[in-house]
Amino acid sequence: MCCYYAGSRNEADDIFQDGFIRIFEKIGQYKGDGPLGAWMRRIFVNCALERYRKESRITLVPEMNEMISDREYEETESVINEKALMGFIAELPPRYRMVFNLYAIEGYSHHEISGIMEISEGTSKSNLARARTILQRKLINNGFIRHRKVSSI
Amino acid sequence: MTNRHNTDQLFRDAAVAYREKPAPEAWASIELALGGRHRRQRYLVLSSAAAVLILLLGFGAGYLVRSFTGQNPAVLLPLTSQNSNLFFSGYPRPMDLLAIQSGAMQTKLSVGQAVSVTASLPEVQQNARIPIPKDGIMPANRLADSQTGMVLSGEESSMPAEIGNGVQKTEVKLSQAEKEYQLRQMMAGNGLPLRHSAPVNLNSSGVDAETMPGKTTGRKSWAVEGDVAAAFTYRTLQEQEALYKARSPLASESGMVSWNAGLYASHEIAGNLRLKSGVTFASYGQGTTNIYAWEEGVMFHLNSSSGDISTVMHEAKDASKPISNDNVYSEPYRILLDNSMLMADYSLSNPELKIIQRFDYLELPLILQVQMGNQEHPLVSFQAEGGVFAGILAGNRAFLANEKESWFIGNTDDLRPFSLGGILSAGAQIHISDVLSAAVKPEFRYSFMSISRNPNIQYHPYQFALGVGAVYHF
Repeated sequence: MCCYYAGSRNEADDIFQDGFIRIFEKIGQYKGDGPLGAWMRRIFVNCALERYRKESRITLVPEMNEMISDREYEETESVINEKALMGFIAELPPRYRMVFNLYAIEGYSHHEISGIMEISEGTSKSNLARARTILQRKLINNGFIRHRKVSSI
Repeated sequence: MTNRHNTDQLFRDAAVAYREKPAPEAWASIELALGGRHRRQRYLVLSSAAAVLILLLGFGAGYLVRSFTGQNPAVLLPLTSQNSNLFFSGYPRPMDLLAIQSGAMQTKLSVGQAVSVTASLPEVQQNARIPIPKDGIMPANRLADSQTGMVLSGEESSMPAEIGNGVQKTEVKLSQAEKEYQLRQMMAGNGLPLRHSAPVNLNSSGVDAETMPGKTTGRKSWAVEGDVAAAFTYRTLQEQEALYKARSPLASESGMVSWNAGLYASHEIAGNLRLKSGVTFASYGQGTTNIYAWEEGVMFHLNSSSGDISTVMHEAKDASKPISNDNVYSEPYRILLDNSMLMADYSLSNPELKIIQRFDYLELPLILQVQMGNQEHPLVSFQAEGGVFAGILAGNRAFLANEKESWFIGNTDDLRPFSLGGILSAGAQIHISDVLSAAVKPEFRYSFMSISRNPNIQYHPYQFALGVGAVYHF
């Protein structure tokens, strides 16, 4: 999970390292009232969040001018390469990557994400849409899905 | 299933299935980091233990040196024809007494040992007391001249008590033979092997202060004292609060490290009693990790058991000000201090961040100090203290803090401007010199009054402290 929260392998290693250090230090706080894996996962998410907050002060998110409609593509029979998909997530701008991961992979709601990331729900939804757009573009460009032109109404 | 969900599912499945081993260096780094922290903790413990050991050894060594060699802080007294009738007391060391020679203009007097010397320049030599064995009898062979070997004859002196300069002391009357011997020794440049006497009215330093004009030990009258203390502060919990705290995941409060410092003056009011007063700056407070928060107007409120904290809204979306999000908290939420919602199972917490509420008071104490044990001990004396104080609220600040930084976020509401409390302490004073002592003092402070105006909040802060300081005796 460190890989898809990070923009690079080095960053993933840093999150991994920070997370495990914190786990070792705070393991006494684990009360056993939930799965250990979930508790550890939240530690890693927190580490990724902290890293995101530090980086977000200096990272400019490019504006997306080209939006892709939900109906403009369909999946292909291409072999899904997991490593490549993780690479696509890693290439997202940090804010989009964080929102996408929290929403699509961790299952947080926009309301929760707005609290976690100190953004409005609208911003969270917008960032998610833009993240999806970028990812879909990458899927198309790399042949994972086929672009299907739909006539405008 | 929509394409959006297809995209999400595609990446979710890939994320679940994807496995990548961490770099081998990552494990080494973790090990190094954890080891480093443990080493630092171990270093702190060891260095603290070493410091305490060194202090104990130092005091012990000082005590032994003083006990066995009489190497005490010395007092220099001018010895001139103008004050030739000066009387002073103490047990000088032989090396100190070398200063008392014919023509010498000053003599060095050790504080810790007693001797009585009646001094007029020609007579000081004659009447100076020679250290003799504790049985008070100087054997004849000890009167042998060190150069000639001749044994002087004469009667042993008696040791009658008499009153001199209004102070009771014991004088030794020298025989003619002793006087001749001393004079011979002095003229030979061997100094004066003074004969000891046993003053009966010495103070704890072994010095008869009254016999030394301008030089007093002063532990009988006024003294000023300054100290600073490292402390742990928290508050007492009412039964219901303790129950709530035990059950609620939100009541994750704790005490915190604090401090106090004070300046005092004291005066002896009876044999072993002193009355002390002055001013103390004492800092109380607590730390809280999970709290309730809500927005009201332009203020953002946090709630802890010590009362609400009103914070000013921060407009900037800055991670360093995580409670400033006006988009989220339009109603009370259980939140974490990193602005994330508290999860359903309450197991998620951010141990790095904590709200610190500090309440600083200027306290005006009235303290009764009891001197305990053997106050004639030359090195250490012990005291017990108890008293009350009136406190004036001097600082009310709340911070958001992690291990490295803290940010001021606001003030705790509804604090009383005044408080009333009590102090108990027991300590020791190590007498560095005749007038200066170092003090070590564990103490406990407790506020009798709740410092909150809110009738639902019974907030009685307390503080355990270990203080060090200095006492100057006039």
